[in-house]
Amino acid sequence: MLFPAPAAPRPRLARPGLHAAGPWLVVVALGAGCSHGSAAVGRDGGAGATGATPDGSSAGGAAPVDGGASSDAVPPGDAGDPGRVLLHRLNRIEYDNTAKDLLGVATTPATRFIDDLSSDTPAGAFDNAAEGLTMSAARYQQYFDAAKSMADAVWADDALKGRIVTCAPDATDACARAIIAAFGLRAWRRPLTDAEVTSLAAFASAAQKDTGDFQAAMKRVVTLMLSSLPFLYKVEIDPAPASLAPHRLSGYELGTRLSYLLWSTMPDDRLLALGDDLQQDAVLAAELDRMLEDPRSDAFVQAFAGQWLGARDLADHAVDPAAYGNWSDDLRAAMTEELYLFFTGLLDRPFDGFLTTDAHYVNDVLGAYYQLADPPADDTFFSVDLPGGQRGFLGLGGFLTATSLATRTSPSKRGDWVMTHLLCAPPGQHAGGNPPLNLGVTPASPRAALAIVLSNPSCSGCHKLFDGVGFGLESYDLVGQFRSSYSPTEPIDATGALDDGTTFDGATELAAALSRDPRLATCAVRSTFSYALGRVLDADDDARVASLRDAWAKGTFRSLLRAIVLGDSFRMRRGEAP
Amino acid sequence: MRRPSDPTRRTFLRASGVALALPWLESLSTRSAHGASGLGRKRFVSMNFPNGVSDFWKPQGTGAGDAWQLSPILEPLAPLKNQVTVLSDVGNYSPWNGHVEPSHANLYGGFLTCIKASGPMDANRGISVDQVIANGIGAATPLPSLQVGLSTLDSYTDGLPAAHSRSVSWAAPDKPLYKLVDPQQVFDKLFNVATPPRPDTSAADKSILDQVLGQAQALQPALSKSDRARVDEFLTSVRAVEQNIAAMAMAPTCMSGARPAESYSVAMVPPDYNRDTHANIMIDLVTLALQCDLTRVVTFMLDDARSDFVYSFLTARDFTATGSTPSASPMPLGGLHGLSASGDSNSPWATINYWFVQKLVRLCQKLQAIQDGTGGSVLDQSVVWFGTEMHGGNHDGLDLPVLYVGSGGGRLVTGQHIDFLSKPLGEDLASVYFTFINKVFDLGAESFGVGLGDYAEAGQVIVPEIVAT
Repeated sequence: MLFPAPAAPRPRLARPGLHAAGPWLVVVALGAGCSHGSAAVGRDGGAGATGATPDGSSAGGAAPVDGGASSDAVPPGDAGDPGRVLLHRLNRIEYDNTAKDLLGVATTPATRFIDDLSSDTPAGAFDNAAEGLTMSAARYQQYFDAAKSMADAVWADDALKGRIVTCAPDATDACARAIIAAFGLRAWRRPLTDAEVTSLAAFASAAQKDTGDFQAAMKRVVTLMLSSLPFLYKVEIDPAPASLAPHRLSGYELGTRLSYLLWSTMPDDRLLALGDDLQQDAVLAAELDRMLEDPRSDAFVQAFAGQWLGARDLADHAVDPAAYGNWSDDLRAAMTEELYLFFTGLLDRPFDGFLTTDAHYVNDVLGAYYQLADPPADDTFFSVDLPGGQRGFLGLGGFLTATSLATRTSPSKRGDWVMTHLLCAPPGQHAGGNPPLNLGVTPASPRAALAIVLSNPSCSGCHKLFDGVGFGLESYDLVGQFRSSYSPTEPIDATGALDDGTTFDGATELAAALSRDPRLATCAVRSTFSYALGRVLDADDDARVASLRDAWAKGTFRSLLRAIVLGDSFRMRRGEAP
Repeated sequence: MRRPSDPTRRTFLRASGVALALPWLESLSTRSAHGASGLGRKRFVSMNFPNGVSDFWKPQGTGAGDAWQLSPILEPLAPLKNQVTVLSDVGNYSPWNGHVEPSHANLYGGFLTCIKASGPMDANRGISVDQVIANGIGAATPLPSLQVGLSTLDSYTDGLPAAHSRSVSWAAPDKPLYKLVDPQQVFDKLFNVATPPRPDTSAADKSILDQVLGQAQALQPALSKSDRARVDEFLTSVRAVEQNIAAMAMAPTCMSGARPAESYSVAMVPPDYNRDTHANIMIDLVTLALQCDLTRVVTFMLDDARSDFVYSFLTARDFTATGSTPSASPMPLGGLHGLSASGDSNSPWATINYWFVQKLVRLCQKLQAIQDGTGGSVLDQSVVWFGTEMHGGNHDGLDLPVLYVGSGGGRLVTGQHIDFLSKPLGEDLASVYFTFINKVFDLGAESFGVGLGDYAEAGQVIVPEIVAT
């Protein structure tokens, strides 16, 4: 039975967002050896690294975070403390989207930026974490070049230029001031102060003397504003920088957070017009709903699910044609889209079904891949209830494929991924060396290979924590298709155990065990909270996460977003001790 | 000083040698020499030759200083010994992975990609290390990378697409970057991209950046400590760019030589063609490209895979375990591949290997003679990777003859012979490249190549032995 996909409107076969890393980034192969790339772990930088307790929280009870603003200073990390986000540079996707929406230019300069040591390397699980969004001379040079080339592009197009240069100069500087104020509101995402307008008007006047041309002068002003800190960063002011007392974000600062959370771009005119009205609960909640309904919220799905659920990883995933001959870019794209649709469905479906739901989303390509009796006829996606076997997130072809190697499944890689992404319990940094462990034999199966690994004391300490999860998924091959044996003489043994000793046989029992694990919901909250705030979480956040989780009670992601957006950590900030 | 973009003048310059503005500033490269900004004028040059080496390659002893001695084939490197690190027992596992018989085309095609070149569709499935680096640093120069070579003779390609034998640079799995062998084409490529200086916008740029700095400084009092540190980082970055603009306005120039008179192409060489002359012209052009900062990434194929070129122009040498001397006999009239398949300790083959090393030394000494503006030479800021895709007559991808010259701006150890024999399978080539990518060029890659089978982790871990501390 086919149902139209119930998801929010999505571009057909929308492709995942751009990668922060270069094209050489390939699968992180967690092979039979004990070592794996250090970049593969420590997603959140928090739970795993800080010795958190098994449910993902550190000591200390949950306390309500929605208790309203306190006028008294509270110690950092205390229940009344909203935490703080570092001065936050736009990441590549945000920069390109913002440039497009602000100027109408079609270029995406940041996608061509070259990386140096310090730029856009995700500090935690997400590429919007402020900690990783640093600046360097090489990067600023590119921002400056991009500002000039975008101004060139706008000034080469009368229609685009006319949106900015809305008046003609007279004897006064009134026109320049009007242009500066109107463009400034959108470019800096807040009204400019009188002093700022005056200063920029003086710059325009000097530029006009230099060039003899009002148009050229205004172009220089626009270049300046695009090169400036308030455009490149999300600035949030602490009126008392050394005070730990929480204070509300301005309506503009809040609108900027909301817009980059849901749309990965600048606030629209409506948000800017609301100003401080956005601070009201009802207004903020209504804007959240409006913005989620807007197709631009696909940016949130792609950025958040693209990273948390690994959809972006498929873009660079390699499948050895000798291991699976039907791998294609169409299949890659369909699997990616299914992951996005699956997450979009969770916006309105209780999280309880995350690992157990029958609902999958298929088009013609995926229908054939899942071997449906009555697959869709074209590349429109439909929601289908799969008859058996592949259920929930762990049954998605995209997940099962992205967590395999190019040539075979890797229980270690799948297990590590599940522990890291779904339980926020990364097994930890690897201490092994090079070269990879030489097994000396060709094992009959991944389990046989890993038995050798597990017999090595220096490897087993970590591998025993996550290999078991991967064993539970061995009935799905390297592209996620069901198999009942490796070969006629080698049956599949899909028994395994979680790190807490819970045993299971096969994917269905694994899903049930994970669903009972309190870390699953905690991790979903933790991941969403981290993305929404745009920062790495630490042990101080455990109580905030636990409180959100308890209030959320495995509801929908829409309700989780609402709880986060209406909570103090999203709406408030504080200074810090000098 | 800056020159007007006058077409008449440009024509004149082109005829007599071209003056170029250096496109990047000294101040940033100076900073990066201290590891401050991650920017800099680091270069990657890969100079490769085919068919492995005869005996007489491996140095005696390991370690640093006098603990090791250059081998007979490597003896021309004596003046550069302190800048050289020879790596022994490095293997390129994944090109053959136990499934495909090692072959010239497979191994050469995978020498810089570390991925089996002969996939089911005969596609090279990787991107080469030079292109990874070019993707990271190439935007700073007019040419992201340059590929040159010397082969004027098509050789047998083992039944694989010729790209695997004739290109070591792969921009994408289906995109070999073919080399230029014609010196005139190389010259034209360099100078077609070397456009005259653009109109001077330095004053306007500086006025904008002054405002940007002022605005950011004005913000400081309303920010807490960590955010002020971020603004400081921003201010430092903007000031560096401002200094760049000032430096650009007074950029020094570099002069090219005249366009080479020689033009060679495959099967189209003059009767008096001399490979040594060809090599020297190409070395001069590569030096020019690096000196003028037209590119920072070069691959230089001294010959193609399975080349059977006859190196009869060489003076034969007699090799022993301790050295070599000019021979009384002439070079045999056999081709390189034929010699390399005639036993591993034959002196004519070693003579050709010796010449390859002489060409490496010629290039490196030219780079050493050029000051970089960082207080050192271009060679100091470079990694010149040198080697061949197979061990020797066994056609094996393990224990490859490879070495590098230059420390990459102090990031790599030099003056050593490192033998990875103590590791069960030796060191893997992909991890050496991974180390270049992340420790010399700071590109933050998660992996290089595709590890397969038992070698899943090749290219994902740093090789600590070669990293300077």
